[in-house]
Amino acid sequence: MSETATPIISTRNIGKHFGGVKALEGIDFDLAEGELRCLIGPNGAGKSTFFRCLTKQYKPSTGEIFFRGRNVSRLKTHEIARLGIGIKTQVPNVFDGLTVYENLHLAANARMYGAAADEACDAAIERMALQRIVDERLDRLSHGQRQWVELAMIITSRPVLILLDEPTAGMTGEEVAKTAELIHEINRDTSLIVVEHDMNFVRAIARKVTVFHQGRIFAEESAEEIMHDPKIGEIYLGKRKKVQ
Amino acid sequence: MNRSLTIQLGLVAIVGGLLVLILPSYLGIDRVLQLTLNFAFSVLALSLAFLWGYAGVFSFGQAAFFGVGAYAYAAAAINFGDSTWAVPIAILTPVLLSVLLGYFMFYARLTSIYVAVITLVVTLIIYKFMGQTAKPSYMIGNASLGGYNGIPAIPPLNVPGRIDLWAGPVEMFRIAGGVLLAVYIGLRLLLVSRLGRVLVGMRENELRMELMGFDTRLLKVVAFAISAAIAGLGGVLFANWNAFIDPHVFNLAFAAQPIIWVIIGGLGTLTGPILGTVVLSTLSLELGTQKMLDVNLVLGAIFTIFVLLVPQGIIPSIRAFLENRRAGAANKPGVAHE
Ligand SMILES: Nc1ncnc2c1ncn2[C@@H]1O[C@H](COP(=O)(O)OP(=O)(O)OP(=O)(O)O)[C@@H](O)[C@H]1O
Ligand SMILES: [Mg+2]
Repeated sequence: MSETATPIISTRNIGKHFGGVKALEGIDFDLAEGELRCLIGPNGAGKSTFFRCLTKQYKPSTGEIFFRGRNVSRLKTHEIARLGIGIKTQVPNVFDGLTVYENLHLAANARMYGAAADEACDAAIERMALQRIVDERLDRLSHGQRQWVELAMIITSRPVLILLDEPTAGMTGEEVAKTAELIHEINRDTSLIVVEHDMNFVRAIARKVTVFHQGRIFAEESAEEIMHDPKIGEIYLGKRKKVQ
Repeated sequence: MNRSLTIQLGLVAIVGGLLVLILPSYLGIDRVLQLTLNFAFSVLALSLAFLWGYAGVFSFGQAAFFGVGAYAYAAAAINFGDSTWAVPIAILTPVLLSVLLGYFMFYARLTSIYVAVITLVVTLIIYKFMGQTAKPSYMIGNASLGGYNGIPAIPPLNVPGRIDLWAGPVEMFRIAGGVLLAVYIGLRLLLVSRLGRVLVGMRENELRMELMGFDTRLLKVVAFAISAAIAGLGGVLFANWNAFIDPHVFNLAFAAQPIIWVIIGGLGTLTGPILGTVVLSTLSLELGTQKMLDVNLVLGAIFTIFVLLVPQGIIPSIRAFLENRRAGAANKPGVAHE
């Protein structure tokens, strides 16, 4: 994809204010078709707020959002989803009272009917190796497993752009490796934005990284440059979130 | 639809259908009438069991849809002298009301507590309004609304197009029983359909549904309308039960009834609320025959103690008990992926 092509998503001057608190301010962001971008930044930098604005869980206080060149600033959350934008929220958002299969089936039903939905569901179970827990209720799974199921749900609904807010939080080392592998695989045909704290993980998955700091875009450079940028070390100093 | 559900619902239809057919031959007329009333109330309970228990939308206004259905039936049947069109009118009128009300509540994204309050207030407004319709100017065609005195002599259900073939008490018992079975089976089928699963998803996590592209405002209006249709159907049965309807179906005490039936029977089940309805209606009838204790006081005490002891309701508690016995020790969930 050439640099001049229309970005899959872009924002102009997005801001979000809570009373006097400026959680986001003047965000100009572009993501190319097929790109995999990481967002990093200390706690409270505004990363999740940015995702909430993109999916219209929050109504931005200022600015505009474009999807493949179309102004989608006025769309509602479910209409944004229908554009093919899937999101894994920071706190897992799953159907706790339902089984893994039922969770996936609902996700499939969001975009397909009948046999097609059944097939998409079975394909996700296969791809994500969920066979052993398909009949478990979500509230009986570990945090890492729930995140994994949520990823499976997003894949099942076949979006063109996926937003992942800290997908590896609470996962074991082995699960993190699996997730990195999966993200690469998804990225073959899907654009992604991934919020992540773990720099090793970021380096493993992304070329370009956007750094948020105090509600603004602080830097946008390659993962390697970020690692050696003293300014970025400073904003993280003492604030680096531990990945459990 | 899977096989075991087909078999199960087939059995319900056959056994239930047979019972409804033969029971009147073995029961006295008192019991027949009492059960007919239980059936009508059970249909009302199912309307809330579905809306609250499965779509996750709590409404204090199911009695209003029930009452509007009964009044609409009465007015239409009196005017036409025939129930053929009165029945669809009695279902459509509450549906229209629910769509209108639902649109304003759910598209405004009111929180559930406001929805509860507004549905209650609307019910009470209808109560006040119907109460002051005693003046002869309040007529719907030939039907006088009659204020707190209500509408007497409502024409009974007849075979569509044949007013000479109308339902007596025994036929009404069978019709009401048949309607209850049909609503129960219809809801079971709805719940395994795409719409049904989507509504349960909304109950479980509204935000996730939105994030996947479902318009939960619309889904709520649809669920509300379905529940209003069911409640209206219950109202038809009720208006037929003793050919009479008055505004008490809109008062606070009656509006609270379906909620109590559903809580006692068990939220998230369909059989529970039916059981709750039959048990509580029977209890209040039996208590009504003695003079020692105030009925409402005793029922209130029973309800309070029950909710404290069996907060999940009858059917979910029985299910949990049976499952625990079957499972023995709780089986640990496996690993997600290896
Ligand atoms: N609903 C809200 N009301 C008030 N303030 C909010 C709200 N949501 C977010 N904020 C504030 O906005 C700022 C950005 O929060 P946000 O959750 O976006 O940070 P983040 O970068 O995702 O942090 P973390 O790494 O901890 O997840 C914080 O100061 C937060 O307190
Ligand atoms: Mg966050």
